[in-house]
Amino acid sequence: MKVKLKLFATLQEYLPADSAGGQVMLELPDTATVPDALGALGVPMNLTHILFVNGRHVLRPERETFRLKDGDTLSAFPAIGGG
Amino acid sequence: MDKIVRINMADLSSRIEPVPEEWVGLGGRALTSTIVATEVPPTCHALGPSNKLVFAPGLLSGTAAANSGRLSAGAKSPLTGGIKESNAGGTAAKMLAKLGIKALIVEGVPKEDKWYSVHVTKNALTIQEETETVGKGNYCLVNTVQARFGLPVGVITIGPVGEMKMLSANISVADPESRIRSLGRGGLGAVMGSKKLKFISIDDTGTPPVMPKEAVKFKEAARVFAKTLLDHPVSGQGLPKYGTNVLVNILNEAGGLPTRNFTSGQFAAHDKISGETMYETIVARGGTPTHGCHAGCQIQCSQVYNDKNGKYVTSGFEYETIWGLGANCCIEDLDDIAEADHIMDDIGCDSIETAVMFGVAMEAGVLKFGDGKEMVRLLREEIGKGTPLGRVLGGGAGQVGRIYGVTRVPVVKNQGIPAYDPRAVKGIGVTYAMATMGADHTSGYAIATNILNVGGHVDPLSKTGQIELARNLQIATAAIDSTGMCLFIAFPALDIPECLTSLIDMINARFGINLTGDDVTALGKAVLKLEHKFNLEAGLSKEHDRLPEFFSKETIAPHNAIWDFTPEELDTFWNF
Repeated sequence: MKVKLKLFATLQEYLPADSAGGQVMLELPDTATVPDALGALGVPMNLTHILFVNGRHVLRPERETFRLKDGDTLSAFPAIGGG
Repeated sequence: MDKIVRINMADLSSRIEPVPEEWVGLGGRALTSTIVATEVPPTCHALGPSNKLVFAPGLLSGTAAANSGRLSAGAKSPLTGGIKESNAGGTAAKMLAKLGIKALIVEGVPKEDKWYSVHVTKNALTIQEETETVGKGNYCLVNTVQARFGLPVGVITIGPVGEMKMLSANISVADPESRIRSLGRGGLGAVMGSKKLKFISIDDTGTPPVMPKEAVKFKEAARVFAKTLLDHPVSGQGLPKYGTNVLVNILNEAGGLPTRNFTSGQFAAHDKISGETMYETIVARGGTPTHGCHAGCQIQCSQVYNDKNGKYVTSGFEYETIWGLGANCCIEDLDDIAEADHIMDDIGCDSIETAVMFGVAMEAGVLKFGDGKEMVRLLREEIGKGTPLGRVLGGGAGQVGRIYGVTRVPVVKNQGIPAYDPRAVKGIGVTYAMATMGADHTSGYAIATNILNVGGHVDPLSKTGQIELARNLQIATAAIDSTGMCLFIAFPALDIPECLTSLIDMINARFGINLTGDDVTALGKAVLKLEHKFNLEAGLSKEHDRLPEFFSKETIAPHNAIWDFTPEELDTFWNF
């Protein structure tokens, strides 16, 4: 299946050099989870603090086993803030 | 801090008073709101002689405590018609604290149509007629005044927008590099303008540092407190690197980035205005990505943004400004937004109110969505010069909506709604509705828990838990705003228990008192309640604690979210 992975802030250093717009399209097994998708680019789970799948938060502890679907967008952020 | 200074503009006199017993434990917002609620008739005209403009450093200002340099200003707001407190960094809070001034209260209006300035030193306060800086912008004014005294004096100032008493007018302070920070919201610059006070300058020469009563205890608490700021990933890493504008992308991902005057929750060109892009731009142009707004700031979320030629354009370039002129007005060029930010700092108007206003003005057809060049022209040539059109636009989003017959006008209590859509981030919607200040995200920053997973998580798209969240955050914020602390200490305070306990320890050591956590919560509740009482007596009823109708009628993409709190549900906010 295909999953779009978007990385933000300091996590962007894990993007391949030829990627554009802070995102990559991943080809993953149909059983892939959130950690599988992040692992495809070597992003350690413990560096991610805020995860969205299709714009909805995926929280601890479910995020460790959260199954992705074909066409999903996974967005990952470190701890950030502002206001 | 042992004195209250009163300046009477009616007879150009001043006097020093001892601090009344009931004000001893107050600072910052708690003190400005208490003085306004006690001494200003709630039904008075905000630009008339009965209103008072109060400046107060926080309880910890002037000490060695990290991030304690915020200055509060309070008055009845000409924009909301209710009570107002607004705060900023800069150098003035520390200097006032070192001079022992707990509050500086400006009363009355002058008899003659002249402008005045006030100069405060260790030994004297002088009020004199001012001519040289009248009509000048804030950047020029700060340079002129500091050159006049030959010192980096503290400066509290208004620009031309404040002189013309427009409702978007802010008050600015000089930062440690003689640039501009602003007490932005609620039109307090118009109140200062109504008193014909162009600036206050502060010279703290000859004053010792503020010494805590229990120095050893204070030093240890300050060390623990500073460590929590460094240890938390938001205050220790995220904010210093990217500044507040890192929020563009996350709000866009969450579908809560108000776009095209609040008609969508996502902006296609978000990456062009994002914190990540801004960071790269600043570094490439030789700017400064990490910078503090006041001495002693450890978080350093500010930055210095240069143009393509490496020349300074602006600092303190905040998410709300960039969202407001960017996504909300569909302007994709960060350089246009930076130029607008510089102009707003210089002419002295609130960048949130003005950005929300431009969204409404674009919907009205005054200018086209996305037209950054025309926006810059309107700021410089119309608002800054006070032309008839400029005065219309300078009155803020609500005024422009009324004049042009726009129904999608994002304001609460006539104050523009900031950078988070209340339908997609419902906790901040409750804050907008219920805040005594009008729509103000800083009153109870539910984004932390709704979006950023700080202080736990409450689903932004669900109603569950939002009223309690907004209430608790507003109570805590009212207390923090009284300490002189930057509100961003709330990020570690929500996750690291020692942050709050060491903050209380510092206050106790500073004054030789024994506050508990419950006392601090009680202070926050008391501040909110006295502000609410003032608003009710000023004529702002519970019907003003509501979001505009369109939020309940129009869904917002991508989540098709809608505002669905009932009035009865919202009114339970005040059950404490």
